[in-house]
Amino acid sequence: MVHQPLPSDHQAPTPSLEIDDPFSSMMERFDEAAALLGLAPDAYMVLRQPDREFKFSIPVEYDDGSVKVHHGYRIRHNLSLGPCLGGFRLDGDLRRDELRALAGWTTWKCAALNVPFGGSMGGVDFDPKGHSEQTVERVVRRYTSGLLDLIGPERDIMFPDLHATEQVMAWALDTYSMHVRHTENAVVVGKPLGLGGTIGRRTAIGRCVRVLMETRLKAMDFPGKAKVAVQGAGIVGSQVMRELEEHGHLIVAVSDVKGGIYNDNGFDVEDLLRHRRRTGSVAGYAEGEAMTDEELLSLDCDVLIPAATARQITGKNADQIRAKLIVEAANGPTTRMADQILNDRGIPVVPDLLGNAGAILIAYFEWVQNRMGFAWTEDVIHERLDRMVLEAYHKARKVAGSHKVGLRLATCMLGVERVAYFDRLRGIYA
Amino acid sequence: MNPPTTGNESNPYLQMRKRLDKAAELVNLDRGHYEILSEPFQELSIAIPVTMDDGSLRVFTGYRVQHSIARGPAKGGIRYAPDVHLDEVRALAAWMTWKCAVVNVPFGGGKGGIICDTRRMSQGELERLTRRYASGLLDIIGPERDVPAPDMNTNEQVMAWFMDTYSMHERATQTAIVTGKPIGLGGSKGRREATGLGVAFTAREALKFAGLPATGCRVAVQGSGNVGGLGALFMHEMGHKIVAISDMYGAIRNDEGLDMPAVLDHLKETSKLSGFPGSTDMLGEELLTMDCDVLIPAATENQITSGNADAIQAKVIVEGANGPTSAEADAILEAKGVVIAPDILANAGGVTVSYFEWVQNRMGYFWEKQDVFDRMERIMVDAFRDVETAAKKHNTSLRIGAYCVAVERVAYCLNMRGMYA
Repeated sequence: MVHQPLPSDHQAPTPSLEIDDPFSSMMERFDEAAALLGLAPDAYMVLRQPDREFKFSIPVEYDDGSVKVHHGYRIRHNLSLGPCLGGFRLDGDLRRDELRALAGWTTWKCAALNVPFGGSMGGVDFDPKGHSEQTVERVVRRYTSGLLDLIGPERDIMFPDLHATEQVMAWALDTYSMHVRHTENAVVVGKPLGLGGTIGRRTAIGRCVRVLMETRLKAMDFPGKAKVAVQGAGIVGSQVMRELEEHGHLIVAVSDVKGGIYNDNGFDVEDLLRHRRRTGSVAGYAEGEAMTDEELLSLDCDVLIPAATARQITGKNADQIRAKLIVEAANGPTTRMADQILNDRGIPVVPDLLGNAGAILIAYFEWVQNRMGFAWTEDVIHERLDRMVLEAYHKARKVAGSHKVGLRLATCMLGVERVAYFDRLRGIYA
Repeated sequence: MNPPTTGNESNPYLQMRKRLDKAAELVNLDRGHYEILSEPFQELSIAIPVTMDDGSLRVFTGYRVQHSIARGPAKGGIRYAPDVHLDEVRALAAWMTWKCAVVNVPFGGGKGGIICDTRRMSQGELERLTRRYASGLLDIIGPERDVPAPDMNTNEQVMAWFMDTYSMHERATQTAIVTGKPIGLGGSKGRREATGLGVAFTAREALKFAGLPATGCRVAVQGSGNVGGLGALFMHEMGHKIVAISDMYGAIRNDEGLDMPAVLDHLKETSKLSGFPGSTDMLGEELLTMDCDVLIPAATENQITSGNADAIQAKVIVEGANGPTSAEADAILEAKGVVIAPDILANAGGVTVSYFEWVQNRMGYFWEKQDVFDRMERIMVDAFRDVETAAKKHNTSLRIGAYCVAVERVAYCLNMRGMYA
């Protein structure tokens, strides 16, 4: 079927900035999954474009009294499984198309994980850097109030994305609550502990990565502890490293934008992260040798965990990879061509849809706890995280086996099939 | 009809911005308020899945843009057309803000549309399309929030479906959610005639302003629908001579004046103007530049441009259509001393009676047709005075005068309301 993009919201005089098109590339994966599933054309049409896109003006009074108008967006891709869940970002380079793609991915991710949410995404074209906290607060509050009719615990739930700190989520929560005139903490997740936040938010991604890694290694008859290389030492990378170290694995190489470091005996992760906090990079850490990003990716190790940005493992470097297993903690670190090469070389990949599932699952758990008004203990959260991520993993493995496809496509199919099925059951109503 | 256009003369949003910029400068609009008013307050794009008669499914795209709600609920039509474009919807929404402000009705501006070809859809498909669109807008519309109305290819029936869908979701009949409903379902008497009559009232005031006689002027009208046809009829009743009128196929002329009631009967019977006894056929484009006193463009956007403005012979132009004249043509006509009664003033009779419909729905009591006309006449005459005064004060055209009136009224409300989260 021919891909028909949504009519652009730009008139001819505005030059198009879309060099690559994240929504289309997301839809390409979807097309592949839909074809393999033999999806009915009807179901397919509805899933091909976002259900709703909302754009609005956010006039903000700066500290000097001047007024500048920013733009807020909220894009809802699909809501057949339940309320939407979607990120909220403050980004000076916000791209509407990227929001569309992320809304779509969230739909598939939630469905694959059997979380009763659809996908959405939103943000403001505002870069908080260089602005006072008061200005940021005004932006966040005005954004939230502009969305009052669209968000809500049963409609659309916001989780933190770029520059959306705990403080930002608390402002969003407060603005919504003041307007509905009661505290409604289930409308946003990623809140501070004590304001409806959940235990385990800072460890969930790392935990899921470890559980998936260990499960996959076991299936490969790999004994005991693994030597792991981690690309990225930010929020995701650091929690992955801590989690793995805690469970006896060795972190033998780490890199960030400024450089990398290698130590075959494994790092003391806390000490390494202290060095990074002090100097701004893992590079130059005394207990290891310098290593470039490329060297890290092609390092002879047991597991490679890309935990930085998209498009790191490409057609150019995929044939140099020597790890026995790749577990993706970042979003979209492997390109399509690299996927093909790795598949031919027999290197298994646990895809991002599963690898960073922790973020979705912990968001879901926070919402559940807010709704019942009762907080779970760490043990309960760990047990449920493990169960849900492994359930999705095993289902995806089964689909991969029966359709003879990679785990990535299989996970995608799992999500697409579920959404299409419930879309059809619900039918079309005015 | 393919109007001659050059560059961004055909982009309605840029055209609107050009006028706003001029007025903003004249009234010394606050920089922040300018930023707020130069873009829509909010806009929604929605996917509209529709089961077609053959059982297949099609997904249409619909929009609703609210330009400003500073003065009250957003107000504006919904158009169904294959070439609906978000930028056009934005421009039309902004025009509604200015129009409502010029006639001083307590509304902001909005506009909506669906990309579709109604000629290739059955009634059932149109109904399902309308209902799903209406339900997609539920979160942002309402009698106190945003009140749609008919526009291109939407009619009383579409408004009735819209009202029914909203009411079923509300579980209470809410007639004030849309205007342009059928009479008997909350529609107002006199709405069909409203825009045409408003054009005639404005023409009367514009002739006075231009120092032309109150009767006996030679009038050429582009368009013969509710605006052009009825506008011509009312001008005829006021004692003017309709020397030419056009439809989508071409124009007819008679220098002695057309018998308008008979012309409209003929149009009703044969579905076209050509062949009206005693008239001669003429090309549609020729009508715009023919020798006459008053020209009423009452068809579509962008008819008078830098390409033909120089050839216009009328002394007074009364804009029945939205945006028939480009900003570039404005300058040429102004230099020639042509008086233009601008769209946001001249065709505001429609939204004025829409406002009356909303008022009657809210009180649940309906006015007689003459009441509607009398109240509308007062509003139109007052608006003309306000525009004239502003144009004199700022030493500018009636068009920019109208924008000045509108922008000042909206800015006043923005200022008083202030900024809240």
